Amino acid sequence: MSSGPGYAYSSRRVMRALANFNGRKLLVSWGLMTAYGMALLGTGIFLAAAMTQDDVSFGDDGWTVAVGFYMFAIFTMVATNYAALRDRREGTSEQHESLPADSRVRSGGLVLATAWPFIAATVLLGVVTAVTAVWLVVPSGVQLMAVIQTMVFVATLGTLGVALATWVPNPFVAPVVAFALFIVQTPEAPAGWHVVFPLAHLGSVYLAGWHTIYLLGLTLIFAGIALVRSGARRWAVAGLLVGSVAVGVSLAVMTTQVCSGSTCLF
Amino acid sequence: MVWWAPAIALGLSVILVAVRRGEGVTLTAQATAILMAMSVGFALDDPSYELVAPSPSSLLHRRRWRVLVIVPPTAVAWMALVWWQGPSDSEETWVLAAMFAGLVGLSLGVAGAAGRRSRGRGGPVVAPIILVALILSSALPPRWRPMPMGDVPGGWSALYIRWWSVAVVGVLMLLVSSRDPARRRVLRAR
Repeated sequence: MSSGPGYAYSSRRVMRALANFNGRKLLVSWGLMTAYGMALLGTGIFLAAAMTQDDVSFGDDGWTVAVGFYMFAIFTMVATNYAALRDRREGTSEQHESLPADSRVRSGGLVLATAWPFIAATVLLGVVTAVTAVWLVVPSGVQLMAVIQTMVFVATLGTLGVALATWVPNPFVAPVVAFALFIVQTPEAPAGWHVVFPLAHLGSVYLAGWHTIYLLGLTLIFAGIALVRSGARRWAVAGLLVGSVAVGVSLAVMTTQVCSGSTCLF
Repeated sequence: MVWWAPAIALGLSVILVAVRRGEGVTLTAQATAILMAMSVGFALDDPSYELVAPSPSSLLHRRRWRVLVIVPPTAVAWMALVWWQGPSDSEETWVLAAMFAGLVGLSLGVAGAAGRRSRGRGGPVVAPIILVALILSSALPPRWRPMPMGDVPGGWSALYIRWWSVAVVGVLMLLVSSRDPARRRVLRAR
């Protein structure tokens, strides 16, 4: 009768170990290497402008940093998807089925491994923000919220990569989604529904906070979708429900408050 | 033979053209060209790469058949999509065709080189490399862009030359990466 809690404890330990193992592999994978390159390219263009031009500001010229980290998030999705498809690619699914750690534990390890790219993005963006604050000017509240949203977006797309691999185990799907995210643009005429775009830049701290909650909700939904593939567990279903509520409430708040008349806070 | 990637790309391209028909022919044609070129790289993916490596049929021979089976139908499908959109300028159509050729060449070259290092599974790295190449190209000033998606100094001829150069580089990469691995080892042993 005591095997239940013991098994749960052992599963959590194995999941953590798998998350650390997969996370470390992710950090040095070709996908993340490309992601670092994109982030450094965007940051480098901004720093070069700051060194060679006068009146450079984070608000007007920092978009290259934002685009660099947007690409970081996209390549994180490609990398997590590639990592999650490893078993299928190498033909080791059946061998791993024979291990004591079941598929739920392995999926959990993959989802938790996205914490590593998230930490990498947080450290890199933290350094860029700190350097900007010391060198140029302290970013405003809205700009800081945009930085936080970009960090969360890395985790959102990381979990999306795992979810895609578990439900559509095809190596061409993640690149297509990456391409779609690459070419998608917010339409020029502002409208309330534009808040659904992942990096919609909202002009008030309050709404930007709700947009961060929206991204966190999406992250929970993608993580839940990835986990329920191998059998619904209470915490996976709870994550899905909490994520759905967060997305629903945040979208309701943002769409009703972002535009008043013809003026929108983008 | 890997048909699913070109099939997915064709399906999405048809939807894209149907949705955007009549507005922005160039942008839609470029998007469908990138999508279909990314899928062509999967044609060289070969799960039996190691098993058939010692067979009398060389790597180049096997890859040549895969390219011949996948590339012509994909090119015909893409041209049909462009024709469906109804481009107004024939010069622009030929430049778009050169861009498609360049992207397909690059896709095959990257897939060939990556497949040689990953036991015949180079397809998944094609799309990220094409995207990175396009981003890096766009980050350069127009006169230095090797893969221009818009106007560059020199007009149509500059666009032709650059995209056909990309195609040639891609094909050369494919040919170099398709040398017989076993033959190389014998020469080294001498």
